[in-house]
Amino acid sequence: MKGHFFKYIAGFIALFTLASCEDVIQVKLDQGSPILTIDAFVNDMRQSQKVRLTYTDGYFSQKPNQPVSGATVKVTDVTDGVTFNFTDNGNGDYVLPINPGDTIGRVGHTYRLDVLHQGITYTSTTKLNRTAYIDSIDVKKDSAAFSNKKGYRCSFFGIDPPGAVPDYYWVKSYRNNVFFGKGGEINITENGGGGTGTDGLFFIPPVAEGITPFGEYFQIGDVCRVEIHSITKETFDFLTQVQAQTTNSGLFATTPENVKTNISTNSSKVKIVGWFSMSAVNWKEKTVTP
Amino acid sequence: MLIFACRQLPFTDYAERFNNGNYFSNKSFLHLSHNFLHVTIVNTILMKKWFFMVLFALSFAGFSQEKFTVSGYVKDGKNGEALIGATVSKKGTTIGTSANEYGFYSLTLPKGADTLVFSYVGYPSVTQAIDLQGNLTLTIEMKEEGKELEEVVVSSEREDKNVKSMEISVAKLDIKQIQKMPALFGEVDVVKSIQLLPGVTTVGEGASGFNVRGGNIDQNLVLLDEAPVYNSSHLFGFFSVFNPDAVKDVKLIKAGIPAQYGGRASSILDIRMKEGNNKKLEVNGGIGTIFSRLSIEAPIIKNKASFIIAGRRSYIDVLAKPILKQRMPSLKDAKFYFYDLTAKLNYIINDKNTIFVSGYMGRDVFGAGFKFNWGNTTASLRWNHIFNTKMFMNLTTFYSNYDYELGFSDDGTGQKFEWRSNIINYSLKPDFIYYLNSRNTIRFGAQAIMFNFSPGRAVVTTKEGNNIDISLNNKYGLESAIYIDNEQKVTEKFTVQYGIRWSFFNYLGAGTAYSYRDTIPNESKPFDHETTYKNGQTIKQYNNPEPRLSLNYVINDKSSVKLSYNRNAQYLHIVSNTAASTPLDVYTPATNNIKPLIADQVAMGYFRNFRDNMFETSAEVYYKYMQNQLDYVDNADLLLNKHLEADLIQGIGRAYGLELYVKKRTGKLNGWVSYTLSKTERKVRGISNGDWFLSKYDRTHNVNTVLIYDLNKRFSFSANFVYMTGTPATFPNAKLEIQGYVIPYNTDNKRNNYRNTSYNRLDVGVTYNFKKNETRRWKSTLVLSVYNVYNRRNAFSIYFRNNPDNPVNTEAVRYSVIGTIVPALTYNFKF
Repeated sequence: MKGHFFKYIAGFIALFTLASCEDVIQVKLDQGSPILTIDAFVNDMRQSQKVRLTYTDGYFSQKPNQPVSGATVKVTDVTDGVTFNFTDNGNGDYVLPINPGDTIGRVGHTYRLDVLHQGITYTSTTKLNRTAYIDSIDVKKDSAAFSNKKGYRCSFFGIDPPGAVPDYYWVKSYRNNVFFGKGGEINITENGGGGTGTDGLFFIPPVAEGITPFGEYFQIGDVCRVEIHSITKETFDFLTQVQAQTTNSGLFATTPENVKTNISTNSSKVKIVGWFSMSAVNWKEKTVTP
Repeated sequence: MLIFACRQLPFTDYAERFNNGNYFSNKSFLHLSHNFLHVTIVNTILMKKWFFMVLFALSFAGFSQEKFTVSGYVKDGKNGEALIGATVSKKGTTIGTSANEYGFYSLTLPKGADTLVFSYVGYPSVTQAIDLQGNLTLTIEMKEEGKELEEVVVSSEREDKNVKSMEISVAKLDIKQIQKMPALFGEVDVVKSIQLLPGVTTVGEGASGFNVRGGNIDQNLVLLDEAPVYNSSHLFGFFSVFNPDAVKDVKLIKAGIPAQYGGRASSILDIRMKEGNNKKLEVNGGIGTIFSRLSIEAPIIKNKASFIIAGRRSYIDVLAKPILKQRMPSLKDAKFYFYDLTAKLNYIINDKNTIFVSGYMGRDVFGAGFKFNWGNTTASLRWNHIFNTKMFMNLTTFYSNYDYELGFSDDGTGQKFEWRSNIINYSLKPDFIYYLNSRNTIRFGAQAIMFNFSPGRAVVTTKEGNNIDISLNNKYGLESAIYIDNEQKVTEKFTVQYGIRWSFFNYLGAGTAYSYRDTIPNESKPFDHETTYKNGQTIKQYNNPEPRLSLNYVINDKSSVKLSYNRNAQYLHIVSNTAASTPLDVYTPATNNIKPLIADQVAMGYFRNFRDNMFETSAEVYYKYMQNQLDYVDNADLLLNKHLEADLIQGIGRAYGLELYVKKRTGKLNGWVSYTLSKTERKVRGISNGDWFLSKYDRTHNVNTVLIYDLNKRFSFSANFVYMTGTPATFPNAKLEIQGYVIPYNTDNKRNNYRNTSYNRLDVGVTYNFKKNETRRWKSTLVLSVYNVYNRRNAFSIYFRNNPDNPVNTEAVRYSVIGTIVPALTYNFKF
């Protein structure tokens, strides 16, 4: 609903500003020296967990960033004193196979990430928070206001558990197991979607309907999957920044800024970027039927 | 309009940020009641005392030889409008004065016979013989050169005000000239015309406001009949809110700001509305691409009282309705229009008293299952009183309100969200001019402005029907000031204007003041504690003496050198971290956490006229130093954030430059060329490694050319050419990959390390006067304008993204607000 709201405005304004346009141009950019990037989003799902290490590359390199192998990666459950060693796959991925029936994640526990690479230690600590419960997925037929696209839109019913401390979530959605992974599609929320005021309530429409991004549709037979990942306030802020920095265009663009990192190093000589997050996940799937 | 080839929905990104509930999150539930504020004006007693002192000082006036004063108004003979700035001089001497904002003048001369010369741009001089045997009241009506005489070269009456006046860095635009310049969509625009003056820049088309000599857009005091206008734009920044049919005089002061003005750091844009024809009914109107306009002015009591009422409305919604109905039924009830209504009434009660009532109301309205609208309302009541031939008073009281409303609802579930925000001012401003003698003109007065900031009253209605109030507390402030200034003719050649404005600001309760702990720069400051204040209780007080000084040394009849220094304090800041300011931006007063902005500026200029003042030229240099400019921590949350102040940081700024200006005032071909070389920088702890970085509106080179050619009675041609160095921009030098997102990154952490490509544009226009105009009362013109003639795609910004078809590839995208040639036709009429 609110998602549409600004799109409508965009449409109207477009009526006035048909003269505006965007085109791809060539820009010469300097290339910054490579920085180690640690991408460590680990969850409690009963599937293998992955931490990925890469080097940053020139913005226009036109190829995936160079993977970093040869590092030691481990995640420690500080509360229980258990360490999980991730195996170097040699392609930048460090994986932890998990036995069905077991999980790395325990709600309320504190976790520490340790990465040792070329003699330098990188660490980060975070907490695994509780997640919200998805009741069901709802499917509605819809057509677009500004295009000929037609199909079904999915939304979900879910409720935020009440509590004095705000809960933060990252609602990830998939169509036929393909993640809606554009920066503008990041769907994050505090409590039910309206901050403190929506504690303990159903997720509000922008969050619930946001699982089908604007302009996207499901067709008969498609599988809609929703996962609610619990995140910390810091991860919420980080994802807000990722969203802003990957969709920063137009008349009201904000000044570009570097995304923050929650990973620190024992050496003042090296730079580090990346993020460590631990999530509890609740998920549901539904096949679209007529 | 529908033929333009390159179309995009440029605002989708803006929408996207709203898309995922970000603006909902992180808000707190506030329970504080909003009491209306009763504040006693704290400085009343101080002011009173001070007035008596001034009056006492002034009573020393007028000893020595017997002198008398001639005073009165200078008016336009055709419609009774006051001629602001008309000069009055003793023939053959440099003794003289100029009419004030209300057309009043006063000149003290020795007893006996004299000849006075009244002159005003575009009007033949009026010579009047007087015999001063006592004080004399003399109101002069000047007759404008008839339009029909345009082929005759305008007589070269002496008009050397540029050289002789105190004013430095002041630009006046004649509304008639503005009307001849080609404009975007053919819509004559005061603010867009201002942007063609040296020292004035903008971040780009579609951006609201303007930047003067390195100042942010909130550093301009935009006054409409003395009431401040907080958002001078319709449709974001495409059109300004001032209806050209109701505007009489536009004056931009960039430096040497006289003491009667204050409250903003960089400039004053003083817009005066027409009083309304007090001789006969006059109707002006037009049909343009965007607006339809109509204004009516007429005497109520001939030569005594008159009014003007002028309205404009965009009408594309009316035209689009049938199309929408047919092709997009879901949008058939869509609203998208903007309008404004300007009205003014004046009544000359008697020789000594005149009152003016002016009002403005304008709104932009958008809606379709949601509502989004914003607008300004201003009202001012002014009383001109002439105590005696030497003492003039204007008492202004005004109300100004800027507000916006955003809301949406879902009929199915009953969920709603409503958000309103506004800033309200009430003010009282007595202003006195004392024409002490022919050498000294003293101006003094006071001002008190009551501010009521309402950053957000927001309510969410849930599915269950619960109302969740996520409103923020109102903030209150009282700004008061006293000032005095004297324009003193020290010798024939040397004039000095010196003054001081002493401003006070009280950040007032009822409210809660938050205190924050220090943290590493560029991080949101952690909350420490809060203190609650009662109604009218001062939370924090600031005061600033603001000295003002201008010097003019006239080298000879044709040239002069001027110097000025001024300090300006500004007690409110716009909170906006977007490239162009949005209608949702809120203002915040100076608080216990946010210091007032202070700007010091020195400007120096050389002024020289050529060919009997046919050409005016000037060269000016300036240096400006600004303290406590607002900036934002990374990932700042600016809307509906109770702890907004924790996300604000302040830094210093400096701006310096050279402005060259040549204007051809008269003749068939007239207009100006200006060149500005300038630099604007900021330095803020925690941003760009704490080094100086370029402001987002820095433009190294700026060339503006405005040419108007009056070919004959029928045709007049015009052209604008603009060249500006591209605005600074922060470009990435690396990309990160996290969770599949490719994120642009700058490993040096430098802000504004690149520039967008240069901006340049040519516009042309033709005005056709219908032949029948000569013989009938109904006069009409047809204006054809072509904006961006050579179809350049000027970059508003360059941004970086993954190729939508192949996400591994990254690319740079140029976003042009106006990326095509824009022709427009306007029909104007008058009777």
